[in-house]
Amino acid sequence: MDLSLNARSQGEFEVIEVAGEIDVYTAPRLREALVDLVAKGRHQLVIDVERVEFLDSTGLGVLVGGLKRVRSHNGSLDIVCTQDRLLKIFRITGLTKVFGIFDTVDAAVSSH
Amino acid sequence: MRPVRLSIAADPANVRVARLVAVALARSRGYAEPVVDDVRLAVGEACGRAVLTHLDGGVDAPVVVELAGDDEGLAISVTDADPADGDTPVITLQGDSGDPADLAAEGIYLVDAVAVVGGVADHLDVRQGPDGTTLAMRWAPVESLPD
Repeated sequence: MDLSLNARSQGEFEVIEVAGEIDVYTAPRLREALVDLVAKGRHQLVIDVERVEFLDSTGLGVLVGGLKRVRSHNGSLDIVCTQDRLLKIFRITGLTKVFGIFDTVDAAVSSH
Repeated sequence: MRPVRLSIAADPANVRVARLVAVALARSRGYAEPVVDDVRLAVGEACGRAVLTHLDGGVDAPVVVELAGDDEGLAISVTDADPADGDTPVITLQGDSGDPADLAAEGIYLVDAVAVVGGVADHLDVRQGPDGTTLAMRWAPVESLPD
Protein backbone atom coordinates (compact mmCIF):
# COMPACT_ATOMS: atom_id res chain seq x y z
CA MET A 1 0.00 0.00 0.00
CA ASP A 2 1.17 3.49 -0.83
CA LEU A 3 1.02 6.54 1.38
CA SER A 4 -1.99 8.82 1.62
CA LEU A 5 -2.09 12.15 3.40
CA ASN A 6 -5.14 14.17 4.38
CA ALA A 7 -4.79 17.51 6.16
CA ARG A 8 -7.64 19.36 7.85
CA SER A 9 -7.88 22.29 10.21
CA GLN A 10 -9.21 21.92 13.72
CA GLY A 11 -9.12 25.36 15.29
CA GLU A 12 -5.53 26.56 15.39
CA PHE A 13 -4.33 23.01 14.83
CA GLU A 14 -3.61 21.26 11.56
CA VAL A 15 -4.44 17.56 11.71
CA ILE A 16 -2.62 15.36 9.20
CA GLU A 17 -4.14 11.92 8.81
CA VAL A 18 -1.61 9.50 7.38
CA ALA A 19 -2.46 6.08 5.97
CA GLY A 20 -0.37 3.35 4.37
CA GLU A 21 3.36 2.83 4.68
CA ILE A 22 5.93 5.43 5.69
CA ASP A 23 9.31 4.20 4.54
CA VAL A 24 12.40 5.23 2.61
CA TYR A 25 10.29 5.47 -0.56
CA THR A 26 7.25 7.36 0.70
CA ALA A 27 8.70 9.46 3.54
CA PRO A 28 9.74 12.32 1.19
CA ARG A 29 6.04 13.01 0.51
CA LEU A 30 5.31 13.32 4.20
CA ARG A 31 8.31 15.57 4.58
CA GLU A 32 7.18 17.82 1.74
CA ALA A 33 3.70 18.04 3.28
CA LEU A 34 5.12 19.10 6.64
CA VAL A 35 7.47 21.62 5.03
CA ASP A 36 4.53 23.09 3.07
CA LEU A 37 2.35 23.41 6.17
CA VAL A 38 5.08 25.17 8.13
CA ALA A 39 5.73 27.47 5.16
CA LYS A 40 2.02 28.38 5.23
CA GLY A 41 2.30 29.37 8.85
CA ARG A 42 0.70 26.25 10.32
CA HIS A 43 2.85 25.54 13.36
CA GLN A 44 0.48 23.53 15.57
CA LEU A 45 0.50 20.07 14.04
CA VAL A 46 -1.15 16.81 15.03
CA ILE A 47 -0.13 13.78 13.00
CA ASP A 48 -2.60 10.91 13.18
CA VAL A 49 -0.87 7.62 12.29
CA GLU A 50 -3.68 5.31 13.35
CA ARG A 51 -4.06 4.04 9.77
CA VAL A 52 -0.34 3.68 9.14
CA GLU A 53 0.64 0.06 8.50
CA PHE A 54 4.39 0.48 8.52
CA LEU A 55 6.78 3.11 9.86
CA ASP A 56 10.57 2.98 9.70
CA SER A 57 13.43 5.18 10.86
CA THR A 58 13.28 7.40 7.79
CA GLY A 59 9.66 8.14 8.66
CA LEU A 60 10.63 8.84 12.25
CA GLY A 61 13.37 11.12 10.96
CA VAL A 62 10.82 13.11 8.98
CA LEU A 63 8.67 13.47 12.10
CA VAL A 64 11.70 14.64 14.07
CA GLY A 65 12.51 17.11 11.29
CA GLY A 66 8.93 18.39 11.41
CA LEU A 67 9.16 18.82 15.16
CA LYS A 68 12.36 20.84 14.78
CA ARG A 69 10.70 23.09 12.22
CA VAL A 70 7.57 23.85 14.24
CA ARG A 71 9.51 24.34 17.45
CA SER A 72 11.58 27.03 15.74
CA HIS A 73 8.24 28.87 15.41
CA ASN A 74 7.17 28.06 18.97
CA GLY A 75 4.83 25.44 17.56
CA SER A 76 4.11 21.84 18.44
CA LEU A 77 3.92 18.46 16.72
CA ASP A 78 2.03 15.68 18.47
CA ILE A 79 1.39 12.12 17.38
CA VAL A 80 -1.87 10.17 17.59
CA CYS A 81 -1.10 6.48 17.84
CA THR A 82 -2.44 3.47 19.74
CA GLN A 83 -0.90 0.71 17.60
CA ASP A 84 1.57 -1.38 19.55
CA ARG A 85 3.72 -2.14 16.53
CA LEU A 86 4.24 1.55 15.82
CA LEU A 87 4.61 2.51 19.46
CA LYS A 88 7.36 -0.10 19.71
CA ILE A 89 9.61 1.75 17.25
CA PHE A 90 9.01 5.02 19.09
CA ARG A 91 10.11 3.23 22.27
CA ILE A 92 13.16 1.54 20.70
CA THR A 93 14.43 4.86 19.43
CA GLY A 94 13.67 6.78 22.62
CA LEU A 95 11.29 9.09 20.79
CA THR A 96 8.47 8.53 23.28
CA LYS A 97 10.34 11.15 25.31
CA VAL A 98 10.49 13.57 22.40
CA PHE A 99 6.94 13.50 21.03
CA GLY A 100 3.64 13.89 22.78
CA ILE A 101 1.83 10.66 21.85
CA PHE A 102 -1.92 10.57 22.36
CA ASP A 103 -4.79 8.11 21.87
CA THR A 104 -7.01 10.57 20.01
CA VAL A 105 -6.80 13.85 18.08
CA ASP A 106 -9.00 15.54 20.67
CA ALA A 107 -6.66 14.44 23.46
CA ALA A 108 -3.67 15.86 21.55
CA VAL A 109 -5.41 19.17 20.92
CA SER A 110 -6.72 19.55 24.47
CA SER A 111 -3.24 18.92 25.91
CA HIS A 112 -2.23 22.45 24.89
CA MET B 1 13.71 -24.79 3.12
CA ARG B 2 16.30 -23.81 0.55
CA PRO B 3 17.55 -20.23 0.88
CA VAL B 4 16.03 -17.37 -1.07
CA ARG B 5 18.33 -14.77 -2.60
CA LEU B 6 17.10 -11.38 -3.76
CA SER B 7 19.19 -8.96 -5.75
CA ILE B 8 17.54 -5.55 -5.72
CA ALA B 9 18.54 -2.40 -7.53
CA ALA B 10 19.27 0.50 -5.20
CA ASP B 11 15.85 2.10 -5.55
CA PRO B 12 13.83 3.06 -2.46
CA ALA B 13 10.72 1.56 -4.10
CA ASN B 14 12.36 -1.87 -4.00
CA VAL B 15 12.68 -1.91 -0.23
CA ARG B 16 9.00 -2.73 0.07
CA VAL B 17 9.49 -5.79 -2.15
CA ALA B 18 12.15 -7.12 0.21
CA ARG B 19 9.86 -6.51 3.19
CA LEU B 20 7.02 -8.39 1.54
CA VAL B 21 9.22 -11.40 0.79
CA ALA B 22 10.55 -11.45 4.35
CA VAL B 23 7.04 -11.25 5.80
CA ALA B 24 5.85 -14.09 3.56
CA LEU B 25 8.78 -16.25 4.62
CA ALA B 26 8.28 -15.52 8.33
CA ARG B 27 4.59 -16.36 8.12
CA SER B 28 5.32 -19.56 6.20
CA ARG B 29 7.65 -20.60 9.02
CA GLY B 30 4.84 -20.15 11.54
CA TYR B 31 5.99 -17.05 13.37
CA ALA B 32 3.37 -15.11 15.33
CA GLU B 33 2.35 -11.72 13.98
CA PRO B 34 4.35 -9.64 16.51
CA VAL B 35 7.50 -11.45 15.34
CA VAL B 36 6.47 -11.02 11.71
CA ASP B 37 6.18 -7.28 12.43
CA ASP B 38 9.73 -7.32 13.83
CA VAL B 39 11.03 -9.13 10.73
CA ARG B 40 9.26 -6.60 8.49
CA LEU B 41 10.78 -3.67 10.37
CA ALA B 42 14.28 -5.15 10.56
CA VAL B 43 14.43 -6.01 6.85
CA GLY B 44 12.97 -2.63 5.94
CA GLU B 45 15.55 -0.83 8.03
CA ALA B 46 18.47 -2.92 6.76
CA CYS B 47 17.46 -2.60 3.12
CA GLY B 48 16.66 1.10 3.46
CA ARG B 49 20.09 1.71 4.97
CA ALA B 50 21.77 -0.26 2.18
CA VAL B 51 19.84 1.47 -0.60
CA LEU B 52 20.58 4.93 0.80
CA THR B 53 24.23 3.94 1.19
CA HIS B 54 24.37 2.94 -2.48
CA LEU B 55 22.62 6.10 -3.62
CA ASP B 56 24.83 8.27 -1.44
CA GLY B 57 28.00 6.58 -2.67
CA GLY B 58 26.98 6.28 -6.31
CA VAL B 59 27.22 2.48 -6.15
CA ASP B 60 25.56 0.81 -9.14
CA ALA B 61 25.69 -2.75 -7.83
CA PRO B 62 22.54 -4.29 -6.35
CA VAL B 63 21.78 -4.82 -2.68
CA VAL B 64 21.68 -8.54 -1.86
CA VAL B 65 19.14 -10.01 0.55
CA GLU B 66 19.45 -13.65 1.59
CA LEU B 67 16.70 -15.37 3.55
CA ALA B 68 16.76 -18.84 5.06
CA GLY B 69 14.54 -20.70 7.50
CA ASP B 70 15.67 -23.89 9.18
CA ASP B 71 15.62 -25.69 12.53
CA GLU B 72 17.80 -22.97 14.00
CA GLY B 73 15.33 -20.27 13.15
CA LEU B 74 15.07 -17.54 10.56
CA ALA B 75 18.24 -15.98 9.17
CA ILE B 76 18.18 -12.91 6.95
CA SER B 77 21.19 -10.97 5.76
CA VAL B 78 21.35 -7.72 3.82
CA THR B 79 24.61 -6.84 2.09
CA ASP B 80 25.54 -3.59 0.44
CA ALA B 81 28.39 -3.14 -2.02
CA ASP B 82 29.73 0.12 -0.67
CA PRO B 83 33.49 -0.38 -0.35
CA ALA B 84 33.81 1.04 3.14
CA ASP B 85 37.07 0.63 4.98
CA GLY B 86 37.06 -0.87 8.43
CA ASP B 87 37.12 2.49 10.15
CA THR B 88 34.02 3.85 8.45
CA PRO B 89 30.97 3.88 10.69
CA VAL B 90 27.95 1.93 9.50
CA ILE B 91 25.84 5.06 9.59
CA THR B 92 27.27 8.40 8.64
CA LEU B 93 25.52 11.10 10.61
CA GLN B 94 24.52 14.04 8.50
CA GLY B 95 22.86 17.33 9.20
CA ASP B 96 19.57 18.57 7.83
CA SER B 97 20.38 20.48 4.67
CA GLY B 98 16.81 21.68 4.31
CA ASP B 99 16.63 20.18 0.86
CA PRO B 100 13.35 18.25 0.53
CA ALA B 101 15.12 15.66 -1.60
CA ASP B 102 17.73 15.05 1.05
CA LEU B 103 15.81 12.39 2.91
CA ALA B 104 18.82 10.43 4.10
CA ALA B 105 20.19 13.39 5.98
CA GLU B 106 17.03 13.88 7.98
CA GLY B 107 16.04 10.26 8.34
CA ILE B 108 19.26 9.23 9.96
CA TYR B 109 19.88 12.46 11.77
CA LEU B 110 18.76 11.10 15.08
CA VAL B 111 17.56 7.60 14.32
CA ASP B 112 20.13 4.90 13.67
CA ALA B 113 18.68 2.27 11.36
CA VAL B 114 21.11 -0.35 12.60
CA ALA B 115 20.08 0.31 16.19
CA VAL B 116 16.47 -0.29 15.20
CA VAL B 117 17.42 -3.60 13.57
CA GLY B 118 19.26 -4.58 16.72
CA GLY B 119 16.17 -3.72 18.72
CA VAL B 120 13.85 -6.08 16.87
CA ALA B 121 16.07 -9.00 15.77
CA ASP B 122 16.93 -11.75 18.25
CA HIS B 123 20.53 -11.52 17.13
CA LEU B 124 22.40 -9.09 14.89
CA ASP B 125 25.90 -9.27 13.47
CA VAL B 126 27.35 -6.35 11.53
CA ARG B 127 30.24 -7.42 9.33
CA GLN B 128 32.21 -4.78 7.51
CA GLY B 129 34.60 -5.80 4.79
CA PRO B 130 36.43 -4.24 1.87
CA ASP B 131 33.55 -5.09 -0.47
CA GLY B 132 30.69 -3.88 1.68
CA THR B 133 28.73 -4.30 4.88
CA THR B 134 26.45 -7.17 5.86
CA LEU B 135 23.73 -6.96 8.46
CA ALA B 136 23.04 -10.56 9.49
CA MET B 137 19.83 -10.96 11.49
CA ARG B 138 18.48 -14.04 13.17
CA TRP B 139 15.29 -15.00 14.96
CA ALA B 140 14.89 -18.03 17.20
CA PRO B 141 12.82 -20.94 15.89
CA VAL B 142 9.12 -20.81 16.63
CA GLU B 143 9.29 -23.75 19.04
CA SER B 144 11.72 -22.00 21.35
CA LEU B 145 9.89 -18.71 21.54
CA PRO B 146 8.56 -17.86 25.00
CA ASP B 147 4.83 -18.27 25.59
